[in-house]
Amino acid sequence: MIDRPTRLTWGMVLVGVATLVGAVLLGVLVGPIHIPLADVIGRLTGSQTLSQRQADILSVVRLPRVVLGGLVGSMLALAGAAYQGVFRNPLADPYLLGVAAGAGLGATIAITAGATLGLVPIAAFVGAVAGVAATYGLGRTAGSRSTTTLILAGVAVASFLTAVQTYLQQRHTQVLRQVYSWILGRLSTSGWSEVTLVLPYLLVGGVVILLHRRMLDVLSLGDEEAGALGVPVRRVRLFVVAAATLGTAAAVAVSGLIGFVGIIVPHAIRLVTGASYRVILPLSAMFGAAFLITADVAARTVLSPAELPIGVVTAFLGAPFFVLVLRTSKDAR
Amino acid sequence: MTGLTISQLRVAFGDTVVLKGVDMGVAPGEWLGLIGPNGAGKTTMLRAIHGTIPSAGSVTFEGRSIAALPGPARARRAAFVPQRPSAPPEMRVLDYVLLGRTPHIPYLAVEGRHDVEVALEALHSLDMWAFSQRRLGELSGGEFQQIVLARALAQEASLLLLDEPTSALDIGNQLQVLGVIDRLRREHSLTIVSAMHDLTLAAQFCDRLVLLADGSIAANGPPPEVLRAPLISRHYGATVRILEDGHGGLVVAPLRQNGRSSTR
Repeated sequence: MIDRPTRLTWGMVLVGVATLVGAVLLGVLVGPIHIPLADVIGRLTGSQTLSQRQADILSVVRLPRVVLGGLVGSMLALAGAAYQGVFRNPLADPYLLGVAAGAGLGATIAITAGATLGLVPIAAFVGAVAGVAATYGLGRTAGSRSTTTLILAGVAVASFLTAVQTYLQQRHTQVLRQVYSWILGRLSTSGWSEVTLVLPYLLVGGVVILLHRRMLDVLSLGDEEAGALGVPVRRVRLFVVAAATLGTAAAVAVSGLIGFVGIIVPHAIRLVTGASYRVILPLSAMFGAAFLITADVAARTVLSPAELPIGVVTAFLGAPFFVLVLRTSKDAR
Repeated sequence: MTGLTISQLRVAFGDTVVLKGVDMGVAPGEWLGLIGPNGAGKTTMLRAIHGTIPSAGSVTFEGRSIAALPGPARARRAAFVPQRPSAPPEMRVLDYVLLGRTPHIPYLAVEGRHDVEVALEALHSLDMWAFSQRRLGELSGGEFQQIVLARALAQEASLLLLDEPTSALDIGNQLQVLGVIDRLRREHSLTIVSAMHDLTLAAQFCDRLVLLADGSIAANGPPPEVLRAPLISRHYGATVRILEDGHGGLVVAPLRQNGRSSTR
């Protein structure tokens, strides 16, 4: 018998890295223009065997898209695991607490106001943060500290914001298509600008969440027992929620609404490795990236040459998974 | 006195006063049992001693005010075990016991080799080493209660606050777990305050009993002084008979109010 605590092992990291590398290669290689693997590796290691056109497609179209997909997927999965930890709710998701509805409203306001496309992500970011702030405020004035109150406040805020968004949409039917294409999520990029735009937020959000990995394990005992162990429960919750929201808002700002990643990925990892956030968080970051890159490949190829919104792909996989989680967590009770 | 000293401890939730200025002391190494009917304020008292709910008055342990200490320092001195500790079913026993090391580990740091050794030693003290890789969901109620004690032990606090530590167990497990607590407090010189539901077990294991009623102390002394039939009857609203067990201990036997009804 090994008397070691449950920790991330090198074996797990290896599997994670291998999966991620596989997904990246898939994302780079699959597309309407054929680019051979050997040439891609050559390009990355400095030798030039590709035509100028192929090289451009690789470095301006495919690579930034794959990197952005990886970053967004990583953040959504990490944030999902973090929300599930602080709220002790297996169904918590980055889109809970009004993130999605706030971002949707922000983007809609920007689009209907005729803002340039560069302003849409910023408006979405502001909307997402405002949505969470409203949920938090409402949850607090409701008086109870219980996480259920907060989640119900999230539902109320989301309904309200969505109602406003729908109203605006109906008033400006000429931009309906544009609003919907944003809401359904997409990873189409214009080079590396989106990547550099979100990277700082994702780094800060991701690092803060990962640093709290042991705290999330303590929090799984509930507020009272964690508090009795000397943990400042409310501060931990505030830090982790703020970090997860910041990261999610940044991800949503550039990718639109991509649902279910934050539920599918952490849960699949939990099923295989057990309950410790020491394992769940780092693996969620790796597999979240691999998952979204792969989902994006599917979005690009299923209806090729047309493109399916990636949010449709993740929802198609995620909704049945959500039901599965709902059923198994009911059994556990 | 260097043990636990409580003076004029008062707790109110809104307009409801739950503790009305309680004074009592617990000597180092002593096991004090808090008894009293439901709603008498036993759990509130334990929480107020631990400083996790706001209270007026003072609680000092080893000469220092517990409430004035920051969270981790408080948790290094006093461990609190609630009546129904949460048990994430997927969590492994060793990981669970390691959570007891939390007050010894800086906020964002992770545990070191020493912490793992302390956790394993705590499991060893309870003869539960063999369970270290089991999941909490696989344990019986009695086994889990001992793992909870191992976690409290890993906390290395010298004051143990237990809220009805055996209320969910059958009598065999109750005796075993209380026996373990008694052995641990002697081996590790712990001071114990426990809320007790079962008066016979309280009489058999505690050095001293405090009877709480309506937020005040109704009696305070060794079990034979507190467990007197009229006193218990008055505060619990139950007819009881106090019997001697033949080994210097007492048994509190509840009696049916109007005698046994005749069977038809």
